[in-house]
Amino acid sequence: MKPSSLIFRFLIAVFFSLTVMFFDSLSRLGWFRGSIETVFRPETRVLSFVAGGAGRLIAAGRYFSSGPARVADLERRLAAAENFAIASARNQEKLESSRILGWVDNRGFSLAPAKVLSFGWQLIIEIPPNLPDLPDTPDLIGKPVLSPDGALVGSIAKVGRWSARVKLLSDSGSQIPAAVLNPGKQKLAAGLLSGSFGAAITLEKVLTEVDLQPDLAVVTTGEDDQFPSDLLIGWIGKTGAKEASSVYQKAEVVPAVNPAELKTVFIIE
Amino acid sequence: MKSLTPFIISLLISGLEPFWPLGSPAIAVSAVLGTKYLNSRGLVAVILIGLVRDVLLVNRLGVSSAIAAFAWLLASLATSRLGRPVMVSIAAAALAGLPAIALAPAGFFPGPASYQFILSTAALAGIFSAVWNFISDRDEKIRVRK
Repeated sequence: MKPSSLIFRFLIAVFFSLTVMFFDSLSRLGWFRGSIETVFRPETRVLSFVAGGAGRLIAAGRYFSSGPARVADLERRLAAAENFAIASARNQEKLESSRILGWVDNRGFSLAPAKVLSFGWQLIIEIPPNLPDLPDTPDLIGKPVLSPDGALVGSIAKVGRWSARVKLLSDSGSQIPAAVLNPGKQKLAAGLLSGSFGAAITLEKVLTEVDLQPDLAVVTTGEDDQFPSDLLIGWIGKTGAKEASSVYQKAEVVPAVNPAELKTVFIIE
Repeated sequence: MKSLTPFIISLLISGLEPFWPLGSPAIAVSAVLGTKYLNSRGLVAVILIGLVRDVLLVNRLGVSSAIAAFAWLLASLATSRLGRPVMVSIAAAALAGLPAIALAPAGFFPGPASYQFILSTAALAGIFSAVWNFISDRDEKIRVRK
């Protein structure tokens, strides 16, 4: 086939895609989403099992092919075994009980557990199907998502029939009012947390008179009505150079959660 | 029914999308289809695979269709000139992985993660293409014997 006719067909496909994007932005294609989700749900259950098995095989292959690094890793694991066993047992217990009973935080909000489906390049979670107190799915948009340790992961960006996409803190579109705490858990400074290019999280609009030290905790302030206050976001990492003439300073934030390691998250209802 | 089988298998593979930890099976399949179906039929299948990917990843509909069609175009152009379907599908999947990362609505991951995405997509395309070629070659040999 001639290249010109291939390119012509491609341009028709792009035009079609743009048309679909336009109608989807007007929310006119809900029926299409619904039907595809209905068709793919049972199949993806089977395929997820296959994909999980493949992932475990790849991990095992990597582990056994690492050679000397494996021995060093084994020694490190043995050294940490005692503490790790205690911590993992406690975490597992907390996870299981919260999954079965629904975990209620001391501050009054209740958390709905949700299984993490994938973190390839987006965090996709499964919406719990028969949770009694969960609001209707369209109301889920914007709800905060926490890790099992109670640290903030992000908020729900888009909702399907049985899965939802989480907007991470490192997303360039997310901005959250945040506070820096000193070692005595007192509020040291306020700022604005925003995701930036390259999946980094930056704390901005902090007055230069504040002395930002690495490892100070960064938490939500609760000023924006979306996120409750005092949720752990991370810790101060590298701080930017202060200029005498500037009013504000910037600092990188080391996130408390690695989304790639999450198996279960909690949605604040 | 036999002519529909590759498309049904392709759609099922793209259904892996939410569960595959790295790379994109849908883009890999689109690149492989570009080496096999250089006609409107292949392009329609690729658009449908893109739409399935968007629904399963809760994206805006149509974004992945454009990326998948791009992978199809690269693979079909290279196949019509060069042949070598396995190598072509690997290269097309790797090149189409770049816009897939750039257009990811949740931001993208720097350094190793983005390389891993592209490498894993390209490797998947190579495997799918090799398996598809192996099966179609075997079928042809059986037909010749008859």
